[in-house]
Amino acid sequence: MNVKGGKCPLLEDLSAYCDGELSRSSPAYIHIESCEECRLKVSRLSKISKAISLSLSNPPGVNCVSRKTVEALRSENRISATKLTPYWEIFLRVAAVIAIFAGSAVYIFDLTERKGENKLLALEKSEKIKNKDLILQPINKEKEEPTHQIADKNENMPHSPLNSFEISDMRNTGSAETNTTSKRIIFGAVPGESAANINDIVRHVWIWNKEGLAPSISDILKNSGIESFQKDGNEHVLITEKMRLVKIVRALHSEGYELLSPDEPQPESKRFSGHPEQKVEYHFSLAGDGN
Amino acid sequence: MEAYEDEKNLVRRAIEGSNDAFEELIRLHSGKMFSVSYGLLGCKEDAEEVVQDAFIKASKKISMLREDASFSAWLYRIVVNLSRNRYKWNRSRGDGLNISISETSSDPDFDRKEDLDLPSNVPPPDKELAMGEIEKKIFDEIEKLPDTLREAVVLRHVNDMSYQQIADTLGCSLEAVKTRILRGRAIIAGKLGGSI
Repeated sequence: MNVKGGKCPLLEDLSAYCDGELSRSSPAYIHIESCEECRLKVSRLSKISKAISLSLSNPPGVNCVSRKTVEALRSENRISATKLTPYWEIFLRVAAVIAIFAGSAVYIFDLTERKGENKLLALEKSEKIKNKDLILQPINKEKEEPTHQIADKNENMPHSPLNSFEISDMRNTGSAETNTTSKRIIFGAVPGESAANINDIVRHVWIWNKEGLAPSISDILKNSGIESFQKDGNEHVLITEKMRLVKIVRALHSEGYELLSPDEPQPESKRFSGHPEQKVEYHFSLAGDGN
Repeated sequence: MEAYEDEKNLVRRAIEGSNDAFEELIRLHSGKMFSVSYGLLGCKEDAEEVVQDAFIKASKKISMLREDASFSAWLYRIVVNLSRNRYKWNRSRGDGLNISISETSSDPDFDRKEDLDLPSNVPPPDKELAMGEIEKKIFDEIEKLPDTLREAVVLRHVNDMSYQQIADTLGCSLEAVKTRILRGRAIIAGKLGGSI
């Protein structure tokens, strides 16, 4: 047979020929059409290609995906309450930033006036808060502790490979009511931040049982089909999307834990009042920029 | 063309805030997206979660989609990125059996393309009795491919994506797509007992 188009093309071209990705006018295409050796290779490549396509066809559960995804989206929309237009979102974000600055100013003024600290020190504290952006609170405090003490406690906590936010500000922190039957988790935020913002920002939540006295969160997560892993003796859960956080919160909620919005006031009745031996701390740390 | 127009119409309505339109987009695309994610991750639950997360993300960002942009191409990129993240996460926990590109390229047999012969012992795909096992074996080998090769192979074979669409989705050149698909096929063929 007369072979046209010069020497045999590269395997990449044979593979592209199989996929119909080779131009009919290209020298490689013209050669393959008339070369027995190349056509034999093409035939073998086609078999591999078809076998791979078959192995990837009809994955299990594909028929339910549409329904499950629609349900997940509806659930997500319910959680997000009302779907705001982008203009309202922009407006609220601007308002939130203004509120943060206003809150910081009030805090500075309050510190300066009530504790007699000098303004420079107050400003430094305020800047620390701003730099932390959003702060999620530890719970089950037996008693209020100064901010710096809490921060020191967290020095040994594992850190996200991303930019994690350490727990530092206790002014608006959560506290927890602990007794033999229930525990309560409260997420806190700096003034001006809302629960919606937490949801927008959160990417990683790390959970660990510092005292080792709490019911096993890993068991709760496992039973709920949520993957977690042990690192440095602590339990970690990676939140890649908001839905993951929602699932975790639901799972914890079903076991007696409760998520409270940081917008909610913290009534005295919810503060920790249990026996010291029941003291448990769970730390939820936020990381990532939410993009 | 009509389907494309329909999709454009749905996307326009979804951008305007129609939940019905967005749910219709889910029905149109979720199966394809799931197949891609499942091919990349090899786990039904992970793939389901990735698809759900992808559509939720898309629903929030759809207002940023340019009118002339393809919704499905945009969605593919989201799914591939989320699948990548999930794959890395799984691998960081020790679940992954992935090998690196450098391992592959250091394989002396791999670079000698001239010596590569297509396997003669791969049964034709129409022999159903043998194909159950062969399919599973091939699927397992796809999961072990280096990331870049696996992504190209899966996108090509799941939805018959064109090389240009794959290049756009993965953000690489057309030549890179050609090479990755061939290498992926060559590795899989080699694992089946023959070699390309």
